[in-house]
Amino acid sequence: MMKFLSEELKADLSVDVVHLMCPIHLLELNESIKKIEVGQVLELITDYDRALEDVPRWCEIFGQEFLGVYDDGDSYKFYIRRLK
Amino acid sequence: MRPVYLDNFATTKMDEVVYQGMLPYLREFFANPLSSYDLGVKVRDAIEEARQEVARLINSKPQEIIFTSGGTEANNFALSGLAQANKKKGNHIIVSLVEHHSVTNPARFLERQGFEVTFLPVDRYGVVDLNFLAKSLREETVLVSVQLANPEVGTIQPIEEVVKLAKKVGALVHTDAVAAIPQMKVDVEALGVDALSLSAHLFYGPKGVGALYLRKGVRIQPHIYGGIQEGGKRGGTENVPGIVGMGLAARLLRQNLEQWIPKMKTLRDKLVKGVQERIANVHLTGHPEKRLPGHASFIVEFVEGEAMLLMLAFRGIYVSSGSTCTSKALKASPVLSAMNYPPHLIQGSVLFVLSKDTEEADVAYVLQTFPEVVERLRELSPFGKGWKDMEKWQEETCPHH
Repeated sequence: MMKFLSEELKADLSVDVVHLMCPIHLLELNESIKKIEVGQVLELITDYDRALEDVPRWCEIFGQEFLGVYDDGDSYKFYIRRLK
Repeated sequence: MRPVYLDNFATTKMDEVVYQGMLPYLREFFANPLSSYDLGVKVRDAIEEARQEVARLINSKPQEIIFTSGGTEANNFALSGLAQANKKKGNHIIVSLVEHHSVTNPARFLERQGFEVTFLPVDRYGVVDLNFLAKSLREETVLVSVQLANPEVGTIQPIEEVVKLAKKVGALVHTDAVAAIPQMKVDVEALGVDALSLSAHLFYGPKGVGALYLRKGVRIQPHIYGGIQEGGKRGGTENVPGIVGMGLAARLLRQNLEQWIPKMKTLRDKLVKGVQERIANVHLTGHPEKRLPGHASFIVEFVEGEAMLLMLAFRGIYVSSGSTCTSKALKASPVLSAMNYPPHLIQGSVLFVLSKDTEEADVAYVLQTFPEVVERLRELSPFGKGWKDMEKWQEETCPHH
């Protein structure tokens, strides 16, 4: 289920891939999640619509916690907590 | 007859170290850099090493370097990519009137797509008008593009001032550093620009490769969509030998530029002084001091420009009349026009661009040959021996006398 948030969350690292297409959002997730500590939150900013399916699915596959997505009108902000 | 190549902004001769360093990547290390097996990794490492070298040359981070097919692509990418990515902020861009066609033409294309473009005028030395810039900037301005140095007249632009003004309205600044890189130390942090274009073949590297520096955090819309190469910002399997060559050329330049600059400047000064002493009615174009150290550009009166270039070439001296493209199209140089030179003078423009390999003997040969060529052409010219009468007419009508 897609979790839409009513406001932005506080993140420990923010990655901006606005204007970039598949699979850059997934590659960035792979790279950036390694840069934060377990328990910390990653913010991924993208305007790529397919990310709405891809990001939660990526979290499922790689065992990370999908906290939700905030739509600011211009782009999506995905929040992911590193679990391992 | 020794060939004297002084057309180093058309292109430069590739350095031997660059050439040798590229060879293995044309055949031996042929793998796709994206392949995950060892052959691919080796090639990918070579690309990343080249990226580091280019980054070091301009004091940026490696992640801020995007390889392109050359300076033209880097300029196109910056103009359209930055304008499109910031459309929400506004639809106004500013470019100078003396930019290369790879900046002015994308600007005109953006104009057709609904952007408003302000063309920034220059003074008689080719320096951009900062007062005009200050008045033109507004909240809707998303991008200002001004070259670091002009290839035709060698004038160095006050980019730090451009950046200061642009930041007041939150506009991004791109600079085309293609002509500046081979002749001056470039530091993106000191300049404060958001984007900067480079071309390898102007600094002893191969053709077909260049780069766009893009400050971390600045959004850009890709110009070529494809795979994940260059972080998804520029798709397409990498020009591996070209990129390796650019990296080597960047290292060579970083390690030697400090020695090359005074060497070029001494020879250039000798050339300018010698030409002015030996030829009457010749004018140095561009700024007398704030110019690239290996650059001398003149307007020679009462000669037909293309004939001058051809006669010099017959004698083994290779120079150009301005930008290569302008010369081919037989059009009056937009740069010299913007500097307010009248067409009859512009057609007599000639440009000497030195390189790291230019020697004392080359300059001596030019100083011996160039005056002879001019004298011969003036004898042949329709003005004939009466060209001195033209001078009187010019004094009254030409704004530059």
